[in-house]
Amino acid sequence: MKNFKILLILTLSFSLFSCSEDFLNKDSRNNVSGDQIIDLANSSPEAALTITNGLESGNTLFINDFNTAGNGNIHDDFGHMAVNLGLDLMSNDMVQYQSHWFVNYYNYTARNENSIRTDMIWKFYYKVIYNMNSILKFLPEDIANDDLRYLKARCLAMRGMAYFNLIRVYGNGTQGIPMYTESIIEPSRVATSTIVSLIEDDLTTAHQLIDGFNRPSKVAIDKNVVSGLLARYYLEYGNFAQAASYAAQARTGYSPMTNLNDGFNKISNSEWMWGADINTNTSTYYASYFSHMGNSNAGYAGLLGVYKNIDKRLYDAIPSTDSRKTAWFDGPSQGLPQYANTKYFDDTDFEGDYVFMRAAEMYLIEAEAKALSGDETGAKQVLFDLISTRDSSYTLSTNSGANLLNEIRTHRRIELWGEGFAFYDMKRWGVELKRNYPGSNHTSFGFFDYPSASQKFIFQIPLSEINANPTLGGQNPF
Amino acid sequence: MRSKFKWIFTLLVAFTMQFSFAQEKTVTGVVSDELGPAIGATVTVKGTKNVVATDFDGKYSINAKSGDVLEFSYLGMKQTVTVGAANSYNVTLKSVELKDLVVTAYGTQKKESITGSIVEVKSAELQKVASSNVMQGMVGKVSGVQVVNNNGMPGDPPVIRFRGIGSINASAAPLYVVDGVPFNGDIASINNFDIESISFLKDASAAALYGNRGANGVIIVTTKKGKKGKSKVMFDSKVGFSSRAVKEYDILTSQKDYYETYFSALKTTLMFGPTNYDQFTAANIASQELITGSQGLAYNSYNVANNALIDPATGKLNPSASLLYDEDYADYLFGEGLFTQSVFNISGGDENLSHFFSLGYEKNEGYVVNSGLEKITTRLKLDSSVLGGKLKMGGNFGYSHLMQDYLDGYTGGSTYSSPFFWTRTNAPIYPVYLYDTSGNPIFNSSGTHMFDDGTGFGAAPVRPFGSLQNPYATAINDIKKYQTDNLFVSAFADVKLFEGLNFVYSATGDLFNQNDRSLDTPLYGDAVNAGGRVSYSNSRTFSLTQQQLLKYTREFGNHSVDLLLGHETLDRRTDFVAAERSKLLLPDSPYVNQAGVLQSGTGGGSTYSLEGYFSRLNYDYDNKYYINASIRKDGSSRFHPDNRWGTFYGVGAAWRVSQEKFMSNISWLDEFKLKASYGEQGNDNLGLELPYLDQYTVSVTTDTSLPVSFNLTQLGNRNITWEKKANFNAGFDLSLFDRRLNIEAEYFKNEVDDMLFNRPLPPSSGFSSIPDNVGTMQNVGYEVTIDAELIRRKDFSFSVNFNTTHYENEITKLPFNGQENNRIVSGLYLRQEGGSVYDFYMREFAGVNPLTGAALFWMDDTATGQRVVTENYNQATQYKIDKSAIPDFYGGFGFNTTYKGFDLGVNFAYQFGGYGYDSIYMGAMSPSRGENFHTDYSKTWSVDNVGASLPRVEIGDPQNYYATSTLGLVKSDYLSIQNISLGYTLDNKFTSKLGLSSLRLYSLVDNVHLWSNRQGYDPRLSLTGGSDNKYSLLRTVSFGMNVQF
Repeated sequence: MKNFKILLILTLSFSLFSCSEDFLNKDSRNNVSGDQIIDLANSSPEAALTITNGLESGNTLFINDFNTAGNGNIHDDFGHMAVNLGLDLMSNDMVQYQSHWFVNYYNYTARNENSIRTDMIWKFYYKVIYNMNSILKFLPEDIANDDLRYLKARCLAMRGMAYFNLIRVYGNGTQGIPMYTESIIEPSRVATSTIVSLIEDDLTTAHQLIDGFNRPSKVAIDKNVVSGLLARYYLEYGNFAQAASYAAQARTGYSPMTNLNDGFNKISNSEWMWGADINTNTSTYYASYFSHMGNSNAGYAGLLGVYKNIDKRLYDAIPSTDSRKTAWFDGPSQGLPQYANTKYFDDTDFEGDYVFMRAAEMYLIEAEAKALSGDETGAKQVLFDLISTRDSSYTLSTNSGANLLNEIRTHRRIELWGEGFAFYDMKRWGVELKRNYPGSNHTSFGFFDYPSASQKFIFQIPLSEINANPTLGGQNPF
Repeated sequence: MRSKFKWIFTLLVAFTMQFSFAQEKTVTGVVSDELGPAIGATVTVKGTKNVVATDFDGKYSINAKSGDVLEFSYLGMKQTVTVGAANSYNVTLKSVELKDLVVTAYGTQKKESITGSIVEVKSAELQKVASSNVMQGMVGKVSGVQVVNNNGMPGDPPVIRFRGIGSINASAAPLYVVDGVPFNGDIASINNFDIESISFLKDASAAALYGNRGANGVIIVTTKKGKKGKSKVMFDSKVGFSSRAVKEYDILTSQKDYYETYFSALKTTLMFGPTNYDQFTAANIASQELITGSQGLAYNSYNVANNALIDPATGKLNPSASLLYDEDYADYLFGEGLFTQSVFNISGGDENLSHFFSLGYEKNEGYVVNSGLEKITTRLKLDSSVLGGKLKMGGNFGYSHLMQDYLDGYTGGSTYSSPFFWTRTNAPIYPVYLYDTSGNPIFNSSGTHMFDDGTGFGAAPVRPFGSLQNPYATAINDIKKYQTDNLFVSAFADVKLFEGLNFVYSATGDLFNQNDRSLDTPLYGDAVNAGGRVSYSNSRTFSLTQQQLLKYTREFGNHSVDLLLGHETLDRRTDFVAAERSKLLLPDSPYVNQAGVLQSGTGGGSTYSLEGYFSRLNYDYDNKYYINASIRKDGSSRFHPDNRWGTFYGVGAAWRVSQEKFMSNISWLDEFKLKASYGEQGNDNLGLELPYLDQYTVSVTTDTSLPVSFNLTQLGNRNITWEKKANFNAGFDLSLFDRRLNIEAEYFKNEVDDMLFNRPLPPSSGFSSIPDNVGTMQNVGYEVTIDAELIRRKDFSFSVNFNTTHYENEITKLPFNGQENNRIVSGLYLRQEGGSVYDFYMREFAGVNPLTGAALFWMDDTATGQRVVTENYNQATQYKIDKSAIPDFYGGFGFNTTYKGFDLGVNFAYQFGGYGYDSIYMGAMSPSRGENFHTDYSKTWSVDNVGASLPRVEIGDPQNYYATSTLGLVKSDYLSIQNISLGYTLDNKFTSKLGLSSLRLYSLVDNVHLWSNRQGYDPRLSLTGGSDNKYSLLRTVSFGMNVQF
């Protein structure tokens, strides 16, 4: 009897406290798991739109996010604008005043295979490509639904832009880069031409599909933006007629801004065609464009004196009547050194918006493309249309040939200073890197020259790819 | 033979005993214990049924023969006396010392029966720890256990590592167990005086029963419980002060030195780089532009013209210049803080109920403004025995409340608002308060002298260093406070089913709630542009642990068996919520609802559950041969159902050679035990909550027109499972000369298998890694503990102790990556198969070019394959340096002595044979504009010092001469006096008149002194000997009184 009681207690206690397998199944309280997404997708047809739209929107935030490469507390990684700023610092046109964040671009160590900067650029654009592919995989080939069609167009355009930047940074002559699409997985470096035609396919398909899309805000890609991307593309790859035509299409409905001293920080700017709306939710604070670029902002530039200045030659090339000349200091002022930029400042608490595309660039593409295709009259007129809004005493150019081209390009460098074009242009134009010249204001940690078309202008593929991808097919030269 | 034995025995008991004939007589006497007469003590004539009890005065009377052995027994205390010629025997019983019982997994074990590696630290030692977190006081105390105090913030939990490096990417932290239950709270919530003992379980045999989480060692904390007997009251109170224990680096402190040094460095800067001036031109320009130039300091704190401060010919300060102001941030930020700690406890019990109750209060202001800690602890522990001992029940209720003021940057880093970064980086020429260029104070509209935040307010210049910052102003205006409540409630019932078999059920709830309130002042610092920021976050973790144990113990003949069967579940949930707003209406109100702009709102948490079945068998034969074996099967919620169960085990054997007959005649040998163990333990804390699932992160927006935005941020791996650690341990315990010399030595080898790594993927695929169980690593080493009681006299004792640990770490397998030895560079370290986790990898400094002062570095010439020197840092090759951050030896030693009523204890800690990277020093050798210099500037190359051993210093170090290279490596050897305690226990005659049983006056000093290779460099603050701008360690000096009655 006694033993029975004991047995009863024992059986009872173990059966009570022994748990079911459910006890060990836990859901996350922070992230959403892949299993939960799949359950959601299967729950209703509408859910597919929720998921694809959510992923696209997630990518829109990702391109301005901090630490996109996951390399830690790296304050020169905040996505697309960090790449733009870094590359500009590798050009002739921008001077970094102190050795600090971004110095690795300025001193050209960012391009070395072991640099976390080349790692960041590579990972960043391939992550964008991954994000777009994962949406495109969801979408059927023929789409009846307008919303899904526009979504597909935006994804293709975004993917096209990512490949366009990657190939210009990493393409080594005919040797291109790995290619991933919604249907192709090719981890080996494919020919540059393969990537170039993929970009053209993506952008032109996007251009067709996006017809009729009325975007909710300038954060989204619309038909004008896709035209702008096509204009950039055709200018780069020498189809100047197409470049001029798409550039003209792109700026339809936009006119040059009148207030050039607004700090370039508001997406509401009438000239901006596409950008990022930075707010308290999306601000990356000290690791942000204005922290590094705004010399009078309470960030790295303003507080620690890591000023971003204009190259002396370019500054000297700005006519004194040109209102853009005031975007840089003529001499030391307000605690800032000569040539310090005031083009960028943020009058908010790190909520300054980013510009990805604006009409002035389209004028300049059109002018350059027309000049290159022999339509100098057209080129001069387009140039005049833009520059006369910057310099009231500007008259229609009397230059021709190389001089005209040079004039257009100088205005392009002045107008788009700091917006991520200077390095790509330097490569496209076959210009040398020349920082050691009489009176140079370049700083000692970047005081060197490279000849035009130097292999230093091609980034090495990061070691993370080299090491993990045995089929890659070779590194770029050191 | 028999009579001879008896004779010896008798002699041992009473030296002057006379022989007499066996004759029955009446023996009387008084039985007492430490508290006085023992009422109801039993007196038995051994081997008979002749038993009597003592009366109210402790008196007894019993019939016995000469030569009989009387056994006195009272509340578990026992003593024997052999009856001789005398007729009266007064006996004072002493409480049974628990020294031979060691707390192990789910129980206690006799020390001699342990086959594994366990070190126990007892309450007497623990009470000498003044730190708020008892583990902070364990540095150097336990062989094989490295205790690294991260920083000096009162109560901050130290990093603890058992026997080498437990893991690379997963957690390497040990498991804490409090009173038999895995602990989820903060050890600082337990008052040091509430702790009876701390056991460190270092090997598989000891820790295997916590096999699921024991891979990195187990620390078992046992709290005190009431002992049978009259209630005892203890009151301990100490008061003292906290100060900075380690001196600052040898940086410039005078304004004169700073201007002269900056001039010199500016001159050097101008001589090289784009300007390339000759030395005389450079000197003239440096003098002209010292204050106002593009590299100028902006502030002139002397009453002479900006360009007349330094004579360019001599480099010296103008002798007629006098200071306008002289303020040192360190004087404002650092000082001495009050320290006080009081504990009261009452304990006691009878056969049926014992109790322990304690109350503690502590306040430590720290030595930095606004960094104080206040702590209240309370505990009640009750143990009852009913139904004649068949049912035992008990409970343990602990509560603690901690309030901690903290400062920006106390954990390190280069946060400008951190007092630690600021005071060593800011040039001494920049004042705390605001002055105009003539040195006149600048007042605000209400007439208060304003703080200088460097933004050039009023007529002040703009400070080139840390503009917008004034860490003193922010430290006193900011509010940063953690409040932690930790409630620990445990209850158990222990049913004796039949003789030797018990069933124990226990349930433990552990509620840990912490909130963090933060106000960044709108007046000064980072948050000025935001109009101030306030945030509040709350994190609540609730853990419920249930255990069902079946315990069976039986002795038959020479065999002794102890069997345990158990089942344990843990369910832990954390909820977290935080909100932040900016634009404060009231500049000093830390409440979110009183600020205007929403910055963020987050809410989330985590869940974790575990279930385990386990069993242990302890067997010994004749107190000579011992076997401890245990096995455990566990499931963890962190893994996919197919991979979540792991089986862990440990088995150990010991042989007490000294119990063998052939050893019995060695009189000086008291104990000689050989032991060995082997087993496997697990680690599921991979740093990822649910590593087997893809993780999508949802982004937040306030725009309702946007879709819900989310991103795939982490790839899951369904195959991920437990990290496993195989442990081998072998050693011996030796006790000699009446246990006055004790030596324990152990060899260990542990191999970590299935080590978590983020297995690289080609980043072009969209993800650069996926978590996976790849990689193996091993730690092989030995440890030795020696203690010796050199003098053991009634009035005078002196004992010394020493321990040391040596280990070698080797990575044996890494994920394949196509590189030589699958090498991975991780920060300063190169990890490769065949190497250790902390092998340095960096550029190699090769000296100084005597002509230019340029630093030389080694590089591999790709054309020739030769090693050549280069002055271009960016071209220099990074090499695996034949130096490691792992010390050859670490440990501690100390002595304790008593003389009459005095007692003195001193503890030392040391390590040697390793290297650390001193980034603080390298920073102070390469200051930017307005940053301070190390005095070693005098050893750097300049035109006046061309034979210097250190490279030239240019402002901002544009050539990276002081960027990461072997130049920054420093030996991380140290010797430190960790603490000193000195006490005096008043004579019993005196204290008993006061009605006290004991009164001790004492003084404690901790973090007394440090000898390291460089002033300011404290290798104790990091496992790898690296330096950082942390809250440097506290020294507390206190005087106290301990009263018992």
